[in-house]
Amino acid sequence: MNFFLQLLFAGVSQGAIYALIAYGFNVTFWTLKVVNFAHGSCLMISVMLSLAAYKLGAPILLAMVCGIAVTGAMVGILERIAVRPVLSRGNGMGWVVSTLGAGIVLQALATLIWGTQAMAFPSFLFESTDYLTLLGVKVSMQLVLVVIAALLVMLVLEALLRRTIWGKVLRAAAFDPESARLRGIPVQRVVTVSFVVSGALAGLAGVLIAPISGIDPGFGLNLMIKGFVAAVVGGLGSSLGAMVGGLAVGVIELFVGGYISTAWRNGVVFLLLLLVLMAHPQGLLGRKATVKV
Amino acid sequence: MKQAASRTWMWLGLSFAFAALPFMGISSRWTQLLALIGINTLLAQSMNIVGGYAGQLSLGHAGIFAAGAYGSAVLSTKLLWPVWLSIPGGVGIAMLVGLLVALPAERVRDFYLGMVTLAFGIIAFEILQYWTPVTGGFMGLSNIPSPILKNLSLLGLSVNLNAYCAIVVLLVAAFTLVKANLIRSHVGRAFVAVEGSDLAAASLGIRPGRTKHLAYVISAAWAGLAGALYAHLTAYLSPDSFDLWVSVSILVMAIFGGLRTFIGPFLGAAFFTLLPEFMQGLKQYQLLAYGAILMLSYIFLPQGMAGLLKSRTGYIKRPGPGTMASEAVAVSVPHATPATDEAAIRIRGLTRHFGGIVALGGVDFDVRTGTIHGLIGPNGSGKSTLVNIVTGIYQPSAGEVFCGGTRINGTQPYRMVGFGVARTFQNPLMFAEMTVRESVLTGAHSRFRTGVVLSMLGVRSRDREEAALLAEADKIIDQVGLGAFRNELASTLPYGQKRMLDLARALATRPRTLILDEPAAGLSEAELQQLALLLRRLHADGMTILLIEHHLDFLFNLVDFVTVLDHGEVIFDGRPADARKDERVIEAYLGNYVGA
Repeated sequence: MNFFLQLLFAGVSQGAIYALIAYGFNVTFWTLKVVNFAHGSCLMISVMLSLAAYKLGAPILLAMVCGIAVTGAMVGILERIAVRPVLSRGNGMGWVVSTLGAGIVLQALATLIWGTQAMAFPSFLFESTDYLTLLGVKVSMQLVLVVIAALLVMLVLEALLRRTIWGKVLRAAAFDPESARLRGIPVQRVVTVSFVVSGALAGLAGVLIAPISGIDPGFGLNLMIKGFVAAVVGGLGSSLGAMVGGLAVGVIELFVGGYISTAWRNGVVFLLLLLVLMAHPQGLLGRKATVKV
Repeated sequence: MKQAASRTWMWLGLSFAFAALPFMGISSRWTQLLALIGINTLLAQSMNIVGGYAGQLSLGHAGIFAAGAYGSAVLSTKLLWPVWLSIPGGVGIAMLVGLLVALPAERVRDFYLGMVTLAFGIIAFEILQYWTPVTGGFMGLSNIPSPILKNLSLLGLSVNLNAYCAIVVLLVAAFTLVKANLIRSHVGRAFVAVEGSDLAAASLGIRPGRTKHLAYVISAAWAGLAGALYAHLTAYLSPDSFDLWVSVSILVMAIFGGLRTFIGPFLGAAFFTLLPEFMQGLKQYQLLAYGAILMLSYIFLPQGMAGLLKSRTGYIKRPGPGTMASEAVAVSVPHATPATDEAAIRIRGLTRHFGGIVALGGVDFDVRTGTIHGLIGPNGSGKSTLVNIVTGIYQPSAGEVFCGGTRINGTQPYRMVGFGVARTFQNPLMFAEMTVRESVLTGAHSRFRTGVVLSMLGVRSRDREEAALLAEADKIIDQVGLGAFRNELASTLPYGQKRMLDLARALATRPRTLILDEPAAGLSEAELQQLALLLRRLHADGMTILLIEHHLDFLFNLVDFVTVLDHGEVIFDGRPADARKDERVIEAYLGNYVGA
């Protein structure tokens, strides 16, 4: 029972990260029907930048904020140089390749600067030895922190989206860009902002998981793919879906690792992706895509 | 025609010249490089088929490459199959894997496949690492029959490196021809059509999902062969030869060489095989360069290096020697209507809700066989919704549609051609990569009888079929007045001509019933008259036409019957002369329209 609970809690924590990544995919999917294939590298680069700032003497929390902010800005620029020009050329899937390429550039740069060796990321707020006892099981405070921080950020974003004029503008631009433009909404700027937010979410997911997982230039890719599976399971574009999908993928992954074999963790998640896409491509909570003719 | 023949001879000569190179005293390093260029060419061609022509993403191509390599290696080392069997075996395994990866293609937006294939690449790499009993795990597989180990024999003859390299070159030459046949056939055109527009392709009887599956499976054959040839070249396989970066480099070779070109894969393969070989010092910047190429080439070099040559291969097989139009098989399926009183289209109780909005609220009417039937109504009255239900794009919430007595609602759009129903679109959906001629020939897709394999082999009967249907397509092009634009790219046509091309494509399906969604919108006066003339002629030939139109002068002069929709309901159904006098019609739609 204890083993079960430990896996469950670790799965929920891992799942909260996937949910953040999935939410990041949602934000750009809303505005441009695009997901950033460099998301994983952005997650990594935010961690690397935070670490660099920390080593230069910045307090860890400030260093993290810097890393996240720079990453957000970079993704905003990415939209301008690698997404918009490709879309405007009417090249259907070109943006997938161009954002993937951007991700590879980031990873290559990180490798040139910091090498391929795995590095440790300093713990913040809690030490890795801090724990809390939940249902008779010791749960690391770092895991608890991940869940709370991820949930909090997503709830705040949801509230902003539903309650503020900015949220309304974003939803209008997402719903019908043409009419939004006619009503004086700066759709292009909204799109750029959505990429900045998406990049910042990737950055946040990175620094949250970094103290637990350890980091190297390639560590974002796997997380990105599982975050995408989470988005698909929950239904791409659905906020609640991102959370549900994230938790589902995290828990399934940990249980497979704990009860079957760690070698199967990625494989099972991949099978899940195939199954959902074949049987119920709109996911648990997503809306069915309607064709416009 | 002589040109085509001499081209074939030139190709044969060139292939044998390259195949002879290893025997002319070049060093064994160069022989090995030549074989590697051949293998990489196959990989780039594989990517060109699926990613270029069919426009589908494959970001884990190393997984398929690995399936071919490990497939042939395992079959030859563990099951002791002879090489001439294990290589095709490896290709078969790769094709199965390709099918598996492509399974979701039918149901989802294309970029999902990008993530699926990216994940597949990673999983394939893990399988190679952990499935030790079969793949040898981290240790890999050694002792694979190969020229290096001098244990590769073919039909009892020992094959040395020179001979093996020659075999690779000849196989590449053969597969290049097969690929050229594929691309210049109805199968290849279906790939390009699906890349251009799923919906338009389906309206011509092409099954988008099937076509994408086929593109992945065929493409996997090339990658699988590359893998098998690689395994027997190197004698030893380890997971590291198939990691994510190999997938990336396959993508880079294909894109930088030039997607959708004949020569591109050769250029990309040669460039990226030789460059690292002679620029060892730059190795650490390789990834950076690959990333930058992927990031920027769609913007600055959309057709890669081959794009600089400005040569276009085209998607039509030039008639070879002995395929004159005169001896072409007569392909004539008259769109004569079966002698029946059955309505061409019968609509009963058709209802469609979008959320809480009722787009159609129980619509009944008949389109009588052999008539031109007008469908009019204010914007938002449900006309386009109705057309989209009749052509299978939307499902009705309730009600039924019959075509010649057969219920057709609830079937897929691509089946409509089988019922003799063709349509045009309100906003013409073009296959941007195709010329006018190629587009119209694509319209005849469902009438090709040659199978995929025979098309790829380029048999004579297929050439005759192509020539006959091309002659017919040319006639249709003249009929709609696009003769002067025959070889122009569809995407470069002016708006009015795009509409006519949309119509010509639909006509090439040989429909009995033609549904036109606002064909007159955006046409000049001269074009309008030409369109009216054409529709009259089609009508005289017995075709049934359902015409949705806002241009009332145009419409009332043509139609035998007219149905008026308002707020999703039929407010009039009868002769056009009566419609103009009908009070409800005047109030809802005509206003003070007097008419010519």
